[in-house]
Amino acid sequence: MKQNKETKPFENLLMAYITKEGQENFVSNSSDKEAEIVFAKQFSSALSQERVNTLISSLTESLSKDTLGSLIQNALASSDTNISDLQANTGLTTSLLEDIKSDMVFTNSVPVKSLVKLLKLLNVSLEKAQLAIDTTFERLSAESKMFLTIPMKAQPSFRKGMSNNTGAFDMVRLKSDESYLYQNKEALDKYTKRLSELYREI
Amino acid sequence: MKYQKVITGFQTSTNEGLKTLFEGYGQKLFGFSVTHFHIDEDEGYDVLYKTIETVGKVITRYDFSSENHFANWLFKIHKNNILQLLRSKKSKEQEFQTVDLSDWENEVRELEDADFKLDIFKPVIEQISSINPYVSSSKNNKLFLAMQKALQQLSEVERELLLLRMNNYSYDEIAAMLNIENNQLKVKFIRAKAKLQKKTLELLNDTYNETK
Repeated sequence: MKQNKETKPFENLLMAYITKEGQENFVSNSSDKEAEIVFAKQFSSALSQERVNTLISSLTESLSKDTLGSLIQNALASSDTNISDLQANTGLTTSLLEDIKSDMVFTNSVPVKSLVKLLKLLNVSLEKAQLAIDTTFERLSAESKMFLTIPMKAQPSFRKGMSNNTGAFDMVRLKSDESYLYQNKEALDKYTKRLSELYREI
Repeated sequence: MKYQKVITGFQTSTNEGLKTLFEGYGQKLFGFSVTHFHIDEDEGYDVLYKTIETVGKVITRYDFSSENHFANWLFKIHKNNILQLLRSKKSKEQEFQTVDLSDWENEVRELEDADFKLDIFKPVIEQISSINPYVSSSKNNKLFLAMQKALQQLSEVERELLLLRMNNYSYDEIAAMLNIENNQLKVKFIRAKAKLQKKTLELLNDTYNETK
């Protein structure tokens, strides 16, 4: 942000325009060169080693939380349950089960009764499942936000094997409808409430 | 390739991935935010935390075509986070820096454009000076729409020059990014800004006169 000792009203307005949310019309075409220059540049400011350690340990803790996918994968690994039996008992298709395991689907897109049955069959507690569902939601939200705010040419592609052809995690829909992001937390809360009720009933 | 080490690191363990990511890119991202956007160390820490957190959440799911692709992606995430912080910070400022016509006059004087007379824009300037431009409002929407239209009337080089200079890049860096000679870029920046300012005010003036 350009700053000068004296007040420059128009530059202030221009800066407000540049930082404006959803700003897409004033993005530099030279941004790849921008990254190249910044990463080659020497800066006088640096984080102290103490703060670096705090940053790494805090992020390690935060990012090591179980997602629903990792929770199901771990439960499956320590269970004798056969996958086809699991599918027959839960009604989950192969692709949807794979999407759940790889966190490729917002949990509230999974039929709630099927998920309850899956958790019960794998002996996953409701408390652990709820925390993991929240973590999955945070990750998918971060991901969809990233797709919404980064120009197409800078976006990465999915690693092979990370997605299937069912379109359960529909990037096109996420990209075209930003409101989806904001509506979804409310939908997820309703979903987890229903999940809790059914978990206790079934 | 640094980025491949980062991905391998995350595949080994979250901690390993975070360390490799920070070693490869962390201090540069921090330095960029603090130096170019004049935010303090705590804010720089928070922005970097958010960037690395986003990367850590998704990195193992993606493929990148090259080091440049990864660096560009990482940089974009970071820059968006910086802009988000600035927007949030400025919109919360209860008393934004108040400006009056004399500030506008001083800024226009620097443009050395004898034809640029501010007097005719006085009512418009009074209107836009009375609100915080970082807060969402209908007045600001009108302002930004005018600015957007005015920007479209500039050449691509002029737009890029304005954007990059506002991000505090040196003229030599801008010349390298735009693949042009640093031949009087400062003068070109001032002229581009004058053009944008004049066109924005003219468009706002038209809107103002229409609604009178």
